[in-house]
Amino acid sequence: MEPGSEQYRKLPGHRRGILRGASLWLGSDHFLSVKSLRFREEYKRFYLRDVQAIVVAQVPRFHISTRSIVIACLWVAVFLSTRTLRPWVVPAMWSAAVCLVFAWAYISTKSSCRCRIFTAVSSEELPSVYRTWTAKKFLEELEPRIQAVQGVLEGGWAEAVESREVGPPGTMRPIPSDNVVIVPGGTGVPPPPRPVIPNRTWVSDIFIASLFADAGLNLATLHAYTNTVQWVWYFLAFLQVAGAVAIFVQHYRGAVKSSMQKLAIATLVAMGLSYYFRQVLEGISGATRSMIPNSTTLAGTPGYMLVREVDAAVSLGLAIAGVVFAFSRRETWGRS
Amino acid sequence: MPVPCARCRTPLPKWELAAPEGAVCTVCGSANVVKVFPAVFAPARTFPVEVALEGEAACFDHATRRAVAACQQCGRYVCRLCAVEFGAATLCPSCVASGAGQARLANPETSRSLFDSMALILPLASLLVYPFTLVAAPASLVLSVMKWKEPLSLVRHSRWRFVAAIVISLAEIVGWTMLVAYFVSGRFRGAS
Repeated sequence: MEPGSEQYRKLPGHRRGILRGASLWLGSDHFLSVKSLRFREEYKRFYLRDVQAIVVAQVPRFHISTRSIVIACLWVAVFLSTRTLRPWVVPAMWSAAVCLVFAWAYISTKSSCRCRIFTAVSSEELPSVYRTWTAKKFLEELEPRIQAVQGVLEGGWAEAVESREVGPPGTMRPIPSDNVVIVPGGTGVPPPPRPVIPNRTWVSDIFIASLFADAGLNLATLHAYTNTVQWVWYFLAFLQVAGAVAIFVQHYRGAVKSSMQKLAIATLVAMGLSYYFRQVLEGISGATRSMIPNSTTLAGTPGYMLVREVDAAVSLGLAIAGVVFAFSRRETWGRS
Repeated sequence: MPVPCARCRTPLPKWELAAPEGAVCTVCGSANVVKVFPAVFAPARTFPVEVALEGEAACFDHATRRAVAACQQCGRYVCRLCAVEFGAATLCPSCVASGAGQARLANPETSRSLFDSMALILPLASLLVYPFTLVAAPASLVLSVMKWKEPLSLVRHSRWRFVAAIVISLAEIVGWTMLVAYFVSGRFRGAS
C-alpha cells in the first residue's frame, strides 16, 4: 500500500488543547496515535497483532480543552450582552459560572483516567483517552478487533501472566518500600528511598497568601476603588510575579512539586490576560494618557467592574487550588 | 507481577489482576482496568548467530556473520539480524532508514507538517494586531498556493483550510487595497 493511502476511521477520544491535541484512528491492521502540535502532527502506529495489554487507571486530569474555552467565551458574551436587561441576570450568570466550574472540577477529579498501551517494544500513554467514558468506548471498540487478530485469552491469565513481563524491559518502576501495603513474595532487597519533594515552601505560602489578598482586595473594594487600593494592587501583582519566579527556581532545584509550578504558570497567564483587558478598556475609554491611569478614570470605564470581578474570582480560585496543592497527600481511591 | 499500573507504572499484584471489577494499585491507589491479550505469551523471537565460514558471504555491517540475503534495494548482503522483511522483499536497515526506492513503503511516516493550518492561522492571528495582516495575508496566500499539492495530514484529507485561508487572505488584501485607494483618492480630492 502506498504511504498515505491508508483509510483511517476515527476512534473514540480526542484531546483538544490550545497548542497540543491528540486523537486515535483505526487502520486496516493497526491503529494510529496522532499527536498534534498545532502545525505538525506526529504519528505512532500500534499493530493489532502486537498489542500486549491496555491499562486504564483512574486519575484526576485537569485539562482545559478548547471546548471549555469556547463555553467560557460564550458565557462572557452572554453575560456582557444581558447583564443590564434584568437585575437577576448577574447573580444567575455567576451561579451558572460556579456550576460550570464545579462540573469541570468534578469530572476532572472523578471521571478522568490515564490510558497506557503496551507492546513488546513500547509502553505509550494515549493522551486522547483521558475521560473514563471515552476509555470505556475506546476499549469496547478496540478489544474485539485485537481479539479477532490475536484470539481470546482463556480464564486464569492472571496466574499465567505472572511469569511474563508486559512491555519492554525497564517499563516498570520498583515498588517503593514505604508505600507497599502487601507484597507477597518480595525480593527482599528494598529499593533506595526516593527523594521527597515538599508540596509547599515559605515562598509558595507567600505566593498563595498574595493570591488570597488579591482576591479579597478586589472583592472588598469593588465599589470603592481609590489610588491607595490601586497601589496595593500593584504591590500584590509584583509579589505574585516575584513569587512565581521564585517558585520556578525552587521547582528547577527540586525544592517544590510541579503542581505549585503549574499554579505559578496559571497565575502569570491570568495576570497577563487581566492586564491585557485592562489596557484594552483603558484604550477604549481613551480618557487618560498618563503612565499609570487615574483610579477614578479607570473605575468609570465601561466593563472595568466586570474585569475586576473576574480577576477576583480567578485569584480566589487559584489561591484555593494552591491551598489544595500545598496540603494534598498522595491520592488514594478505593474500588468504585 | 508483570502488568504495570497506568498511573505510577509499578507492578499490579496478581490477586488484583484476577479481581473482576478492576485492579487497585497497592502503591498509588488508582483503580485500573486491565485488558491483556495473547501477544503477552508470544515467544520472543531469537536469532541464532551464524558465523560466516571461510569463503561464505558475510553481512555488510557484521563481517563475522553469515549473510542470508541481499538487500533488494542496494544489493548489500545482510545477516539474519539485519534483514528487514517487508512483504516479499528483504531490505537492509540503511535503506529502510533512508526510505529510498522500494524501501519507501517499509518506512512509515512519523510526522507531517500541516501547511494548511499554518496558512489559515496566519491571516486570522494577525487580525489581533491588524497592521500585521499587511504581511500575513500575502504570506498566507503564497503558502496556500505553493503547498496546495503537498500531502496533508495522514488522517484528514480535506483542503478546506487552504480554501478558507485563500478566501480570508484575499478579503484582507482587498480591504487594504480599498483603504489605500480611499486615502489616495481623498488626498487627490484635497489637492484639487
